[in-house]
Amino acid sequence: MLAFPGIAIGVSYLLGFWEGIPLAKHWIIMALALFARRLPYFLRMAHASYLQLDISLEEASEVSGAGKIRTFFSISLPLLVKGVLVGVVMFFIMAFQEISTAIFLYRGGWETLPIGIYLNWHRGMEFGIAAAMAFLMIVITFILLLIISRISGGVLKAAWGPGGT
Amino acid sequence: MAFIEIKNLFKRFKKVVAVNHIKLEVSEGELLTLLGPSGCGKTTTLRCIAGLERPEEGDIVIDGKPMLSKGFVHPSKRGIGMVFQNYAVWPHMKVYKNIVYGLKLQKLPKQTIKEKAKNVLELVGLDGLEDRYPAQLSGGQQQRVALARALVGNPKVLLLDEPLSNLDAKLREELRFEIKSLVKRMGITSVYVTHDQAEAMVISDRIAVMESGNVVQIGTSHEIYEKPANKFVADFIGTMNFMSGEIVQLFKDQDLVQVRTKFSEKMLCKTPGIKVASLGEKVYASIRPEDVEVFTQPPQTKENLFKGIIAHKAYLGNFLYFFINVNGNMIRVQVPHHMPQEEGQELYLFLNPQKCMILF
Repeated sequence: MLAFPGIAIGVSYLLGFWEGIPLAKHWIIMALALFARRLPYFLRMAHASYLQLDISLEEASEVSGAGKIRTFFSISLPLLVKGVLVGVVMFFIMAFQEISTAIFLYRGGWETLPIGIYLNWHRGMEFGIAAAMAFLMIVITFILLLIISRISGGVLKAAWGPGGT
Repeated sequence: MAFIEIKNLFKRFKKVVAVNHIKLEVSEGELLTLLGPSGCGKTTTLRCIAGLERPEEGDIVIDGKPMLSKGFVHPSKRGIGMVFQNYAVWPHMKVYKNIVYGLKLQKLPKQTIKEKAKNVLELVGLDGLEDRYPAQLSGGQQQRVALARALVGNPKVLLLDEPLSNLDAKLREELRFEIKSLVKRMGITSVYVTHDQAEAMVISDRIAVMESGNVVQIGTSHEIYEKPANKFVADFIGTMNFMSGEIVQLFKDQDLVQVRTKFSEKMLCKTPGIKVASLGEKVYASIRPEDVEVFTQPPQTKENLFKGIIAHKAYLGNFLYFFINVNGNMIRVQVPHHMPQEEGQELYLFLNPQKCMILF
């Protein structure tokens, strides 16, 4: 999925869901396509946070008398939750800013913000509105990034301590 | 009978043999150290005892119960405590929760858990810190948490995998003695893995020196330092001067052999205790730097006496190393720190035959 360009996904969702299952006529197609487009990025991130989990933390649990299932729920899962949450927010930011897939799927009434900017600037010559939308996008992304640093800051603190030893 | 018996243990990772059919026995209450360079199989052996690795062949018997031959026993069922190199304390749990984790799994009454936790916290010197998160503790304190966690359930066997190598030198020395006295006081049978020979010598009842998957020698610190089994052990434990040569004469009545080396035609050495030396055999005449006697004037003795020039002088505080050039060969000598000689000066070296070992 990582290898497909956004345009390819946009076009294929449009054609694939035109007849038969006519999802392309409903706004839900936008959410589905953006989800599919950015899912692999999220999985990569979640997997990376699993790889960062020190295996000896799980081994220490087993040696202490816990089985595999107990170890997963008491040790691995709580330590992964934050990493996954960060991934979810990043996932949302990326989907939110996506234009190459969205541009094939939007219809009047369910344009995404990037599409709105594009239309106002390119079609309507409404630079003011486009600028305002861009600003709005920056603010929303910034808030999401703040949330991420809040969560992942917590992860870093828990794992390595408040700066140095 | 031995408390832990390792029989014919064999483990490989893909094509690399990590542990090559080794045999080891640890008596009850004993602290055995597996010592060797990285990649020698010491950690793999320990992890096999813990059940974190599954060996291809062999068996491990702990307190009479086979861990492999009658079905694989999961690490959680082996009655062991383990301390890891990188502490492996759970960062999302407070110190107290870290320590009582295993006890809770045993479904002990609350009061018992509290008491045990309190005792072990005092034992490792962490009382008052039970409400901290590991991240709020120093490396040394985190390793104490790991130690407390390993000890709290009164394990039959304590396994320590390089527990001190992530700590700074001063703390490492301090904790060595602490771990030793703690383990001895509790009388737990322990297996300790390290690559630090000084640590091994201080902490162990016996040391098993490992090299590329094999146990090369087992013995007390004293035995291993004084009577190394081969060149590898002698080189790994402490410092040793090696002079390669061949045996030219045997003096059986005096327990001496004569070796021809690059240093001299005639060099007398002690007859090796472990292996019978034969004429013409290629050997290493070896001597520890601290066993070389140094003179500024030629002494009475004629044998094993060499004249050399100080090539380098290294000051190590409590003693000096002289690197002395003897006929173009370098020999390292340890002398008291107040020796005034400088580089370029001549010295006489007496290599006492009783201190010269033959190694293979």
